[in-house]
Amino acid sequence: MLAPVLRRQALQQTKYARVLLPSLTRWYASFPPHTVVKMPALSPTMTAGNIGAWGKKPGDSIEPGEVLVEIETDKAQMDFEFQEEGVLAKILKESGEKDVPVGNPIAILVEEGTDISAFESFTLKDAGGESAPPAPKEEKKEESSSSGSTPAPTPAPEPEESGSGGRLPTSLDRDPNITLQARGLAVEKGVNVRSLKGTGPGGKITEEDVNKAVSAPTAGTATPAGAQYEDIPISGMRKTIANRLKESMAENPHYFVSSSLSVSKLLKLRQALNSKADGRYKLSVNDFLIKAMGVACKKVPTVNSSWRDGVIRQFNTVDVSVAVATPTGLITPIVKGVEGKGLQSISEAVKDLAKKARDSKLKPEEYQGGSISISNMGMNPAVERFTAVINPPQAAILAIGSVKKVAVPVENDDGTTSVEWDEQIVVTGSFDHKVVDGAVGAEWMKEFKQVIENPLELLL
Amino acid sequence: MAPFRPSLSLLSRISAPSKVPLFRDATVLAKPVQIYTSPTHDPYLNLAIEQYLLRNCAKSSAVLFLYVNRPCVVIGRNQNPWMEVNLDRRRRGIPSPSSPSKHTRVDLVRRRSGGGTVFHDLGNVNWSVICPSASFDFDRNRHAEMVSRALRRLGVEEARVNDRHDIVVGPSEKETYKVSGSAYKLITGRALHHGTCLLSSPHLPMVSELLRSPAEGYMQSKGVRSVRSPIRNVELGNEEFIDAVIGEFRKMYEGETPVVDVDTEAAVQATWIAEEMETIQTADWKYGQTPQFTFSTHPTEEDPRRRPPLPEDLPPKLRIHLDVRKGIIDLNSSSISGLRSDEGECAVRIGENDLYDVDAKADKKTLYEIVDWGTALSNPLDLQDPLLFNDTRKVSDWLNKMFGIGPSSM
Repeated sequence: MLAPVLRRQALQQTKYARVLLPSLTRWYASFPPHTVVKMPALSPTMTAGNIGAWGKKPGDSIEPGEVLVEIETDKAQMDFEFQEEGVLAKILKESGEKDVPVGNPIAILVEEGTDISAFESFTLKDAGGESAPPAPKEEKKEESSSSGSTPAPTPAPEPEESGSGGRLPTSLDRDPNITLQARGLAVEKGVNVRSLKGTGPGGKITEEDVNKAVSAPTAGTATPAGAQYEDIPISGMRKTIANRLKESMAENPHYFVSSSLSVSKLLKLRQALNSKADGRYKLSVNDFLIKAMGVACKKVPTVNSSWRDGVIRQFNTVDVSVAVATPTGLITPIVKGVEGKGLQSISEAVKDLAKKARDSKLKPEEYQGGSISISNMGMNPAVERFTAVINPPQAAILAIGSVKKVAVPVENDDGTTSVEWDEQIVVTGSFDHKVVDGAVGAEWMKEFKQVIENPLELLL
Repeated sequence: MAPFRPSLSLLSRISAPSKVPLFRDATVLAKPVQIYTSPTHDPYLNLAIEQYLLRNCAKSSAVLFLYVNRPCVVIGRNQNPWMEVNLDRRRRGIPSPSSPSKHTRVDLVRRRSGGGTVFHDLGNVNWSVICPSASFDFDRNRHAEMVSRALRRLGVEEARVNDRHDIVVGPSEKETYKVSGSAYKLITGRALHHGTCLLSSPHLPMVSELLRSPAEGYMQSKGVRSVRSPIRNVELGNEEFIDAVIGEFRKMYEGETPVVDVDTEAAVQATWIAEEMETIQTADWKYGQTPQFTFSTHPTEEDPRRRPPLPEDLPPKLRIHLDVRKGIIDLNSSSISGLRSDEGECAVRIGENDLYDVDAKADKKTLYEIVDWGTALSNPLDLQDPLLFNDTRKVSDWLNKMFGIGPSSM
């Protein structure tokens, strides 16, 4: 009699536990479910940090907002406040560890009630390993440019929030204590959520607080009445974009290869696939383009490379950085290993990353890295074609124009010529001549054109 | 007398609602732009007030705080005082320039922000700007530039910010002198950027000795290392500098913001400030917050560098290796041997026989609680053996000097 009740309770409890665990939970090998805490980027330009004093020891529980560990980087001492509940199971990087790159595992967190002695033998390798520390100061410029991703050309970014201006999300403010409705309202009204004080339960910021803030003036420099201009402060993100693009233009001898691609077949294929989707997926032209880039890069791997100090690093996987417009600015999350992914998984990945980007929930490893970029302005019918700036330290970027109906001559069976409508897009690849010679860039473009114009070749 | 061990509360103390606030009128802290000065020269009180402002001023406010400290050496949050400071010299004080036989006391202070070691005295003014952390993200040199502008307005034409966020003067890129160093502390949504400014310090010639530890060559530390730069005074008065910085701040954050001189009586009564002051004066904070380091007289596997030669009067076979975590010597991974200058090994375990500390655990010894290495090292039986006693005395005198231990530890 009791057994079914107990079983139901147990089932419910498990369900509840699963809901409580953050989506980052790992179910790894022989260890209980756990979350790997990684070195956060506590500022947009941070690439690595020194571990300072730990605020908790294994076995201690942590509440959102409590300091998990102190981190120092370039004279700045910062508190890493973890935003979720849990229990510290293991410290992977002890106090005093220097130059731990952003994104590397530093600790393991588990849910209340988990047996932490199971983690005593847990090593960094179990956490997924770590990437090499950034090269010493002299090469820091090169390394720091691969963090904090930026798009190549910057079409006028969407209006930034008032006050603080745009910046990459940091761990400290990833989840401000705000209700969903209030957050939406804040974005609508352009109010800086971080400047609000919450009056709801537990200090939560409510819609009332947002509305109040809208009417209250924000602190900051006001322009004198009747001024001829407005000085917009330069945000960290803008500065990063500026520096990286300047550097890219200065260091990379850009040359451009344009091609008009016929996408009629591709659009038909897309329509056919989408009609059978049954809600499982919705492919966009972009997904095909990304996949085609993967194919072209495998055929011409020189383009899937990076100029490093003393070597050209040719990547074995094709990781495509995709430009996404978010309320805080442009960001380029990465779709990894496109050569091994099907259209459906590429589509899912892009949608997922775009959503995370807009919600400012991208993790550093999701936007740092990449071996080639794509920038698609096809949604803007005014843009026929454009050239993009390479995202250092990559060697190429593909700029996609909008689809245009073009009249093309066609030879009929009876030898007469007539005119047909073809749908075309103009893509322009920017290549770094240090790594990619003209003929190689052209070859890549040829492969890309081949697979776009004959999309069934994606199956090969 | 058990030492005060606040342990985890030493970590950035999250502001709980203060039982007694600093200002009776809480709206002072809510103003969008605030300017404070401090009449006290107590470095602990000034740092505590600074932290209080960081944690209590309105989230979007911009705050300027200016203060002057009596002579002290200030190390960064994650630094090693034994490695960065000549603690022996600090303990003895520095000769006063006007009457060299008199010595001026020098405090040792560990601040909460990062970065390296600096020297403060009455000829140095500290400026501190607290603002939303977006400002730090957007340009962490913004306020150093502001102070540079203030200096240039006062006639220091070549004042500029270098890529270490220091303010330097000097005729060319090759010849620069640091006049101000910066450090930062970030908490959720807020950033503190503070810096020094050498205006007319009479003690500059002593600073080099004070910030160079004789133990440095024997130590390998996980702490943050200071970067040395030649320093110089800008030769200005405190008042004019303070006025100029306030002027530039007011320009940057429009308005005729009044300057509030902090009431130090009220500050000392404010619960949070009083607690913070107490915390940062403890030996546990100053010394116990040191990241792991080793001190060895000879090259080791982890640290194969050549060591500076030992003084000649020490026993020739002396080998010391100390493994120190959080200011506590781990006796299991440390050793001292070769204390006898005649033949016969005489490895000694530290702490077991400390006459002064009968509760000493066999595997640990708190480095900063050692009042004399002589008693930490000696065995009551040694006192009977004059040779060993002499050698032990020589070694302990040397260790005392290395670690800045001695009478009149100020």
